[in-house]
Amino acid sequence: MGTDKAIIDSLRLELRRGTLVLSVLSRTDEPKYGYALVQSLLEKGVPIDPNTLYPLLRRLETQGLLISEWETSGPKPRKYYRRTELGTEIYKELRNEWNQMAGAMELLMKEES
Amino acid sequence: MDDKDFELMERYIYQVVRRLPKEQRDDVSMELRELIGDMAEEKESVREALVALGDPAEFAKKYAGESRYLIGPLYIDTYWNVLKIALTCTVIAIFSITLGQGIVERYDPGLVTDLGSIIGFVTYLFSTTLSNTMNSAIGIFGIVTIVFMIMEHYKVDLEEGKDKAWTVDDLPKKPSSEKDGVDERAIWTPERLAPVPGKKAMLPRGDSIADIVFSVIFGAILIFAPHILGVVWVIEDNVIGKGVMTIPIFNLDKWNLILPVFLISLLAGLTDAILRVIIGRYNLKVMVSSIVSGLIQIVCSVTLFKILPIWNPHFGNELRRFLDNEFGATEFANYFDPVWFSNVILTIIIIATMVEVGITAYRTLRYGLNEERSEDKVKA
Repeated sequence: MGTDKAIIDSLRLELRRGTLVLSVLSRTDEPKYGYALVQSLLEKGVPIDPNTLYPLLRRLETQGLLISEWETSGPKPRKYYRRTELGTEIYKELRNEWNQMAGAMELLMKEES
Repeated sequence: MDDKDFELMERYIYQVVRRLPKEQRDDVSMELRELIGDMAEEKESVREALVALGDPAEFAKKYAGESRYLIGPLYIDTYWNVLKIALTCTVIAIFSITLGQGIVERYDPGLVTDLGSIIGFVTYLFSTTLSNTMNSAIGIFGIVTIVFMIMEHYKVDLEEGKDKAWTVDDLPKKPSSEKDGVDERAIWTPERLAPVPGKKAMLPRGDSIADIVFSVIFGAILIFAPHILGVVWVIEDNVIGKGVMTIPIFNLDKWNLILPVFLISLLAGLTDAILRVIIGRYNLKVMVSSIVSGLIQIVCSVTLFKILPIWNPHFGNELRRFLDNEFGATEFANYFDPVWFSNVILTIIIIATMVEVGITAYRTLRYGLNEERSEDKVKA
């Protein structure tokens, strides 16, 4: 059923979207460049499209959660992102939020089944 | 990465960043070069990397965020440019015409002697010019904004690339029963990327802006104050006092026939010039618009100068009568031959129009269409 698949896809996307910021913040305590981030997230089972990640990094930078720096000494220029102090603070808040939510969801779904 | 891959990558990047605000373009370009380079290494081809990234328009949308725009980043620069030009033209034209008209209509030599009437006169001039100028400026602002809102709403593509490169083959396949979830990205392929326009294909914006300014000012004069086109001088007479006299060169009795033809011609030129400013490069649209507007202008000019009674039939007589051979007016009037004058003007207009259309056609065919040629190069 095509429509079912479309609905599932869009719901999955929505569910995942909220966790993306958290995923990115969790990996940026050390400076990382964009594509390395894509790969390290994929390794941990969090696939993210580069065309979602790059605009997201930029947005987090304008919000002051990340800071970027161009590294031009290598063979090709790379832009490294890392968390700011504000980013770390917000990361901790979000992580608590996530843990609470995960616990609550766990309970909800255990009861249901 | 060879030249072909590099070209493909640059096209892709151009298609993304041209949709972003100016101040982000350089940085995003560098970022995308890094990303596409990394992806191409992993996937072993630039093409594969670009297919994975998908339609550049969609990519750009993600950069722009989900915000809804009245006039978005794709149009905002053009919008400001057009708005600036349109407002400047309107303000200058309406201001000078209302001011001139006010002076001609209300000026009375007697008022110089009385401070009260001087203040009254200045106040009158000030209030009429200010209110007329403000009203027209607000009107123009509204019109330009509405036009761009509509363009934003329908995402009118100002560049050739998309609709030209599109062929029937690009139509998405109807999903078959086994493969319902057709990947939408399959519709978009890197081959459809238009090349970054070369320097020689760019249109000099200044010329078009000069055209627009001229058309608007001339149009405004023709509509609001055609009588000032002609011989104007100040008279001092013991009986009627001091005043401004004009002998219009155009036939104002038949103005309701003449003005529309003038305006059609100016409007054709104006539309063409605005299109040039917006598109900013030679391409088919610009060439077609130039040919069409050139034809309209030539037809209108022939109508004006050969068919309609455009010249004031009393021009010569009035010159003789009123100017009394001051500044050689009588001699001028004796030599003034409307038919000969019409022919000269008409010849100049036709030659100038044909030269302009010719240059546009030459530049378009020579530099403006290399999209197709280099597209072949990329495919080969």
